[in-house]
Amino acid sequence: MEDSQIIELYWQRSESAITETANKYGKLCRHIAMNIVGNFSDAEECENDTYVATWNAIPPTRPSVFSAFLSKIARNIALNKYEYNKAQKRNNEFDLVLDELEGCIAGRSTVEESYEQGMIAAAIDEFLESLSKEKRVIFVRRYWYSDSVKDIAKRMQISESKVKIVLFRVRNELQDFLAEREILI
Amino acid sequence: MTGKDLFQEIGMIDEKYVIEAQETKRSFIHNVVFRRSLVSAACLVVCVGVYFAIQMTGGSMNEATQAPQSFDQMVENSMSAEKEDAPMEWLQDENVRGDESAMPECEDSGFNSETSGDANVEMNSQMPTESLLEQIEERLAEYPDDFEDICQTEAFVVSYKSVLNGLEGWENFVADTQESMATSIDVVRFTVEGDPIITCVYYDGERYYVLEDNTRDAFTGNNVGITQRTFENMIMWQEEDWVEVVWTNEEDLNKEKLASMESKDYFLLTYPIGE
Repeated sequence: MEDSQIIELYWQRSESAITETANKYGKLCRHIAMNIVGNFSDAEECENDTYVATWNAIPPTRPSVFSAFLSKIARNIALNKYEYNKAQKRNNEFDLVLDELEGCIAGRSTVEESYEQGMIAAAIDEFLESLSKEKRVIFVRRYWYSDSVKDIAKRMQISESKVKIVLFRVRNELQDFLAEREILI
Repeated sequence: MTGKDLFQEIGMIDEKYVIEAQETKRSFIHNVVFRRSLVSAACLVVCVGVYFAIQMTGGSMNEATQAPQSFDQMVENSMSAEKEDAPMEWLQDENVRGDESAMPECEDSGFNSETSGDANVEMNSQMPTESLLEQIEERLAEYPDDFEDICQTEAFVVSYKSVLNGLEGWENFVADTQESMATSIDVVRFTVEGDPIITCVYYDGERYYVLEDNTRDAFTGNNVGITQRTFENMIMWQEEDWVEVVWTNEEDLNKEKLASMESKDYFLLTYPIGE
């Protein structure tokens, strides 16, 4: 079923909207959640919460790209779940992702007056646009989808070493980029 | 600002980058076959170019050691099938073809991966060639025998107690098959005596090709070698702490039916789940 048709089902408050969403994007939502929370049961819970959140969001929202809309919701829900579980259980792989990003801004702080929510995201958009497609995809797969290095290497059909090197360089470039724009000092 | 804050900020990037990363994936077949085709094509072009360059200058590879030929002899030689095939014979020489350093370096022509999910499905529904199946057999034969070395590979390694290696790769394999995307996975199981049985399950978008290498099994009897079977379906079910995966041509399969089937008509993989 086309995304526009699924969205229309939400607007009509038809329960088949959830079924159709699960059939088409259930795997994607679980994958994103799994990368963050690290276990099947929590990932399934995040998936179900994603459907609930989507049901509550549409209407009034009419997303232009349904898959990205769902992915973003799943990601945020999974992140909240991760925070909730952090005291009891660690997801080593996702902790690595956060550690890498921590290293990206290590030793720097934000200029408070410019740190408005979404402003840094806009700068990151500009930064991503400047990258080659391969570097950009590797960066987004690692820090948006939280894929493991191994998964990225397999997806891109390159070695894990190359993935690590690309990520290392891109993080350094991002750090310099944000510093030049005086978002980080 | 913390790493988590930055992670949240990254979560708000433009959707087009999220979609691009979701839809971009280099396929196993495309990458391997494409690269080798590029190398072969480049070699062919070089060989043909060298051949015609020699012809145009009126020389031959053995000119210095041979007596000067008459014009008629040269025409006859240049028209002979053997001479015309010389570049192809060189290309077919395994020692040269196998040595990629002897060939002009062909860089990957850039980011040629598919950019849409639909393209992935369309492009990857291809039966494996005999050459590819042979390559898979060679790869299985090259696996180490040692348990620890096997766990250093990308194979999905399981014992009756636990998953030892490669769970993520297995999950990616399952995910790809659900999207009808060509993919493959190497599975390593162990006999009671600890001998590894290495199986490659290759999926072409429609069927599963199961190649099993039992050459390391000391008690395999007369059936030593790499067997190949083809199945239409992959069926998974989970019971408590176990996942069972069956490759079969049966569509409506249950455990009772499976128990009554002959082993040659299915391939079964069982592995425990949970920590």
